[in-house]
Amino acid sequence: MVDRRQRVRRTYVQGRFGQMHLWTAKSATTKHPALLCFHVSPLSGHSFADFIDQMSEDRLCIAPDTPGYGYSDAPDEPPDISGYAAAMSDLLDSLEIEQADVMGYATGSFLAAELARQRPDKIRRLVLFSAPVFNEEDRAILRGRFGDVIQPVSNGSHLIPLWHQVFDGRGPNQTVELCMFVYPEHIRAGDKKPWAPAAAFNCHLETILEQVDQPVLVANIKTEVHNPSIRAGQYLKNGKVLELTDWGHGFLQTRTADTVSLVREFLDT
Amino acid sequence: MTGNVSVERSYVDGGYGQMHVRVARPEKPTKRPLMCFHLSPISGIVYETWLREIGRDRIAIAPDTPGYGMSDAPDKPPEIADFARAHGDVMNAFDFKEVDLMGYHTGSKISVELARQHPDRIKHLVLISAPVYTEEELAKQYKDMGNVTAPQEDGSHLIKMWKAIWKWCGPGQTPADLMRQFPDIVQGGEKKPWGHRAAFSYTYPETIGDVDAPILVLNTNDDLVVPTRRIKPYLKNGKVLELPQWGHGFLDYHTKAAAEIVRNFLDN
Repeated sequence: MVDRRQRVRRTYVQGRFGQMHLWTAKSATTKHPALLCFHVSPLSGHSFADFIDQMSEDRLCIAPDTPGYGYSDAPDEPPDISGYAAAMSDLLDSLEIEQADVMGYATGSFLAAELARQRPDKIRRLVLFSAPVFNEEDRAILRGRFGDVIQPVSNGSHLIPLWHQVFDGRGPNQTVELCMFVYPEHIRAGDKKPWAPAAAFNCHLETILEQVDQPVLVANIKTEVHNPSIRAGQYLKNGKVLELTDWGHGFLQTRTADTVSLVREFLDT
Repeated sequence: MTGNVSVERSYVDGGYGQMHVRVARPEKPTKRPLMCFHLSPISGIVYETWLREIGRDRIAIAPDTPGYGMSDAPDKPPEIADFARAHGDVMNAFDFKEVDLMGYHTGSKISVELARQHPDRIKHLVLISAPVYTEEELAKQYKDMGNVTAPQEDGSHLIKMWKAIWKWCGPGQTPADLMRQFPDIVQGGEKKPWGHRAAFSYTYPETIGDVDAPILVLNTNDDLVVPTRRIKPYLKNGKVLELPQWGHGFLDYHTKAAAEIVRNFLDN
């Protein structure tokens, strides 16, 4: 079910892993490069709907469902971050986008940084909501929390740990209703749900960030990857880390206008 | 007839906004197109296996009803006639001059109403259930399915929604089967019950007799088996096929047998 918004539409394009589902928003006025928005795992582009509705006042905004999530077809085998980013790179070409800014959220930040590394000709600036540089201890903890498939059982009890993955990590003002807004996307990927998180846990973001010349803003919100994201600062060639410790998961719904202001300020000035 | 075809998804515009549609399209269609309407509160996902089979010799599509799956939601509670008009928009967008319909529970009511709205274009109807309720049954349906299940901090609302569906699972259906549909079942917030409410306010005795096109009612052993037996006297040009060995999930678990029944009805 999708609530209608002023400028948001969905569409499909053909990609290397099958159909890719996109949330798009645009207006008659285009003053700035397009903005690509890559979501947190295991959600979908739906989480950006309110944000891109506002942000698209003066630019084209596109929030793809990462392959295997939302309504995008899943790959046959688990890709690494480079593979996911290559699918997004295809998207730039198939949509004939000359230049784009890119915004990532957690796993989406890995995709954004890797895409900027792969396509320096196309990607102008990056805003990364969380940019975790993991150590082995972080990886062990996160794999324990998100790395396994929770098998469905007839009494429905499997739904509860999946609920707690959302509810226990909720951010400020992320109500139970807003947690329920994201829950369908949280479970939609089924037994492939851990694939994109695994790609992120296996990735050394620092080696990617060291190769990104474009301006980067890391918006370090208070989530389970806040501390690892502090470390990103030392690897940025041309960027900064902004601490947002009173922001958390759900900010795209609870702080939509603030997010638009923050992203605009970095991208447009 | 070709081997199983793939199912692609796409969008078309309708009266309520974008309509999300699953489409099976054989290389050379030889039969009339088939539109398949899902039950509440799920989506066209229930037809994914079915479309791959029935789409071997015809274009077969399963739109998500407005407010379900990935289709835009109406702003206010719709009636079955509104849903039918939205699916009529899809019929026009696909440029179907003549079409057969298949409907599942709420979708069967949408099928009947669409046939009333376009008697010249709808050639056959296959209805998976066609319930004629007693007042008591209808009151219970409203109570059980016409309300929002408010989310709770402990997640207990999810167990409640799961059990409400699982108790009607059909032969062979597994928790993994239901889990594939569950995201679509639980989404929708305050608007989730609108499909059920529209269905409960649409009654067959007053409507189904207007349909001249042939109707085949498939009465599987699901939650509507008893009220569906009462439809017979109201069918002008139809029959009820009792299928007590099948229940929810038969489109996945008895796909070829169901296709044989449906093809015999639609194509002969």
